[in-house]
Amino acid sequence: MSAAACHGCAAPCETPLVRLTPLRVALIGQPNCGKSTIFNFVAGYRSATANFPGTTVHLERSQVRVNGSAMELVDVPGIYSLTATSPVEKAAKRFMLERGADVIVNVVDSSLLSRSLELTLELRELGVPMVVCLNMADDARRKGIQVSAAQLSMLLDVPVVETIASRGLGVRELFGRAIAQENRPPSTANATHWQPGVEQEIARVQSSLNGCGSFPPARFVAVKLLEADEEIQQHVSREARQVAQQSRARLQRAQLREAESVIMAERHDRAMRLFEQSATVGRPQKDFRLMLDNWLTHRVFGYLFLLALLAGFFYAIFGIGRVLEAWTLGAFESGWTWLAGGLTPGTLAFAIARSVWDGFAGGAGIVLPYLVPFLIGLALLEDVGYLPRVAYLLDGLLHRMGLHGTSVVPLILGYGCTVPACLATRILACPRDRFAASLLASLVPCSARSTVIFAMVAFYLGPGWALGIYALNAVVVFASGWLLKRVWPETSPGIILEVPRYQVPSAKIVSRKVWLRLREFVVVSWPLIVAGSVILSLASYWKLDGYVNAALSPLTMLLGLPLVVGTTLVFGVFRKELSMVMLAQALGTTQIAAAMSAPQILVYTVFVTFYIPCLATLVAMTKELGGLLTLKAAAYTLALATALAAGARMLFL
Amino acid sequence: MAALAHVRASQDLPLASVPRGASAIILRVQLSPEVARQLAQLGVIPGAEVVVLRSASFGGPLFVEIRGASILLARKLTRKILVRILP
Repeated sequence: MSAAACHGCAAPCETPLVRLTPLRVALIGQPNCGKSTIFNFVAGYRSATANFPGTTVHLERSQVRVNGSAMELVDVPGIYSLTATSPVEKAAKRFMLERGADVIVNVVDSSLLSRSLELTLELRELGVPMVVCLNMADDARRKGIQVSAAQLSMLLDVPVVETIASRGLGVRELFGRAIAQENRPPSTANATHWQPGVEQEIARVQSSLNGCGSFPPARFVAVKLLEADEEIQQHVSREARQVAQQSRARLQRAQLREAESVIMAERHDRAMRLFEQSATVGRPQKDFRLMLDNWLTHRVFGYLFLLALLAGFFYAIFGIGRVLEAWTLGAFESGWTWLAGGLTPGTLAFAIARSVWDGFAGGAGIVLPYLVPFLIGLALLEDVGYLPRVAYLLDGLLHRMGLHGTSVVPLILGYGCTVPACLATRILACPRDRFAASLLASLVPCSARSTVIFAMVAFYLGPGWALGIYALNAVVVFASGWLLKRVWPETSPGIILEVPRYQVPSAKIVSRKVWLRLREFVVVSWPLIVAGSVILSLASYWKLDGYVNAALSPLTMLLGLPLVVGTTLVFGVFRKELSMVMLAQALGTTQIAAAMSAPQILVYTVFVTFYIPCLATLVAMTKELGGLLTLKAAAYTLALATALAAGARMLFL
Repeated sequence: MAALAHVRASQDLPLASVPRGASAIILRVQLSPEVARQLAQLGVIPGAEVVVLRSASFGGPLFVEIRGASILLARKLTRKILVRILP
């Protein structure tokens, strides 16, 4: 039951005196204030961090021990206020209103104090015990902002702790204060005093709530009713709604603007006043990051830099990957010669041993050499904070294709993995945009498909051809967006996005992030590759693969590919790298070029790059968009892949 | 600033027309309540001061600074935000 429903129920929701479950501490704050950094510092690397608003898209929970006490730590997605618009914000708000936390740790970016305090004031009205964490104290000082924690603590009547979470400074003390704060809600005495006219209306609405239920507090509910909050409106009596409506009308007449604007302005003023009373603003230090932005987001140099960066990124991955691939495959091949000495070719044991070995070799030799450098590069770009700048540079172009800059986030994440890209569409408020961004992100080659592009096309045909596939992909993504814009017009207001400061990536965070994504491959995909390799080998041992290949022969014939690749395309639905590794298995050699011509390799890669997103993506998409839209997306990608691969065949084969 | 010479200081104009580098005070946000709310969360409300840092090519967004934070605002939104340039 929602806590807001407490208004109208008789059961009191008090905190128990004796704690049976661990203390629930929630990290709440505006996007990019360092919540996940604090969470990860205490809980180990479990929560995704990136220098981009909206990185945490769901509530991350972890049982931790801090200073010897057990607690359940919850990393809540960043929200600007308790007025929710996107699904992410709604989830965070629901969590708060269902009284998900015993203590709130309100993380605040000290360098953006005056704005951040608006959320602090709103959270304070929930009457939940809370501690304010003045994070990024170093950044604030660089901006010339000196905050007095003691003064702020006195004004807000909650403990205030200064931290620099990226270096772990102050984090222990922060949780010590949080634990001590249990069952000590902020006093209501010197609560937010707003101007008398507004206070009067709040009191009126408050009295119409006839005092039942203890959470959320009546004052909070009254203010939310004045703001016409739809969720809260559903949980109060009709009478209370009417009273609120009258108050809204009176406020509008008195202040000549809508009641919501009045409340927003009040919160803004109050936050400004608190800021002025607790902080001093001096001369900012010279910040090279501002000068960096002048260049990296320059009208001309910004784009040149972006192109140069992508090209450099591409060649670095290819250069490193190619050397590693040749070396690893060579090592596995000589390993096999040594191993095969004791086995008789043609037996079942031989077939199984060979397929297990090939499965391992495929993962180690073909996938990892490209995947590891790729993930490191992407993690670095994410952590530095370059992605929002890309959104800035590309928004205008994307707009012509029916997307807007915020959709660049899922699109870029799509180059890593399509699953998080689909989840990231939750930061978009409009369902149409979520579908558009998910569909287009699923067309972008993820790291698995990039591996195929690198290990097949770049390796056998040369890096220029691989770049060509990326270029073709970009064109197709744009064209698909353009097409979608015609079928389902865009209605969203356009990009509204905060751009975080650049930061020096930490080796620890980057390596942990790379490992987290790599683990996904090692734990899930690699065993699948080995299993797939064995299944394929058994199928061909018992001559079963012929049926699958025959069933898929219309497709393979249309594309001019060897019939035996049919089964590998089926495996690709599970994992895209699987297709390629299975290919070596199906063709009976890791030297793909010996069994397929260069144009065939190209056609095959084009098809693998575009056809049906992998199983994990389909599951994620179904969850985010529903079955029907997912089916449409899958059908579209299949048709697209077939058309493009057939086109490539006609051009080159 | 030379770029400012042709704009009279007392004139009200859309944010989209503010030359880069100039500061302005937001007067009115003529957008739907939902969008206005989203903007307000980031500090874009009447009375707030905004600095236009730069604007993107291809009709892309404006890169502005409000209350110490850098914000991207779609060009079409900035046509509906009325401001007065600060001298």
